[in-house]
Amino acid sequence: MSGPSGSSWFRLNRNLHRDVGYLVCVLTVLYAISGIAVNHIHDWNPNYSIQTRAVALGPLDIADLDLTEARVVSALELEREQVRGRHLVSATQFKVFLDEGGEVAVDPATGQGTLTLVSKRPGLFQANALHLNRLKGVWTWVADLYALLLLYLAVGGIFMLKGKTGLLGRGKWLVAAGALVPVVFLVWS
Amino acid sequence: MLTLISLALLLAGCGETDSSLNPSLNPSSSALPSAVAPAAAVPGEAYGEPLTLSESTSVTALLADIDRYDGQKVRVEGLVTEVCAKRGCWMSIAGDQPGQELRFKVEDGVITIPLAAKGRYAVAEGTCRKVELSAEDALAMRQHEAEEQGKPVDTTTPLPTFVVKLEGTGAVIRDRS
Repeated sequence: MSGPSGSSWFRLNRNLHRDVGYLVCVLTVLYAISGIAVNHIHDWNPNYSIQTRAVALGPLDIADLDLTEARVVSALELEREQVRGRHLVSATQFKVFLDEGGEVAVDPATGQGTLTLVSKRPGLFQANALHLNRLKGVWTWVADLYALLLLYLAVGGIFMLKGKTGLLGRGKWLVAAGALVPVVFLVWS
Repeated sequence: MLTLISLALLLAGCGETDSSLNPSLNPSSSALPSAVAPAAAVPGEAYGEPLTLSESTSVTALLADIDRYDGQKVRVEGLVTEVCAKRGCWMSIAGDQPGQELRFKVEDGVITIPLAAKGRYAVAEGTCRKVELSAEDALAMRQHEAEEQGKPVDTTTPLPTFVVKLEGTGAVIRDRS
């Protein structure tokens, strides 16, 4: 591409690339952070912070589960508003459910068990909801449009410069190197 | 620049989320598309596909006669006693009696059940499956779940010889009352 029309095409591409870049930068940062977080899901929980500790309440009478629940709540000094309900899972496990998915799980015979408190990881929970498309519905279309814009940034980006630093210069080697990384992993996996 | 303004307007237009298109966008909404089936009028937060069956089978009845329900589409309801803490890809629904539990399993990413569903009430629909477990499989499953939930391995209850799963398509979750 040369002459005035060629230059104008390059200028248009550069300007568009710049403005689309501004437009998608926040979402790209969110998706990147969420991507790293979710990649390591085997090692940690990217959505919730879960704290578990052992509790010893002493033997609990399960003849009246309302009273059993009240005893657990009082022994652990829990806020009444935190409590969602309770359930005798089995003869050896009684649970009191707390906000956000927390719980107390104890063996009524011994009163030994665990207290689990749960809270959402601020920011990351919301970023994961967007990235993993938990919102569904219209967000799916927004995410598709975002993906198209990223596609443009990738393809448009390689045609932004001319000369030695352009695609026909060192650019082609860097594009090939970038393409080689997934190919090597796919072949060797 | 004109192109960019058009793109921005398109984004802004898409951003005006119409939660009526997808009940899961508006968890407090009890209004599900009434045209689907009368069963869809179950109040609560909807996840996945709308419910299609109008009657629930009790978890107790289902567990008492698993072979009869194996492979059938059923709707069940009950207290949510556990939820997959990492991916929200399953929840356990309790029966009337201690020890009775049904696993509602969904495809990863298709439906995400919030951890806060634990202790609430679910009306869920899917295909019933009985899955036999060897002792090793049962132990591995329990260890995996403990790791997923960030809790110690439960050694107080005997290992199951089989699990009953509901391959879930949709659910409505609400408070117990």
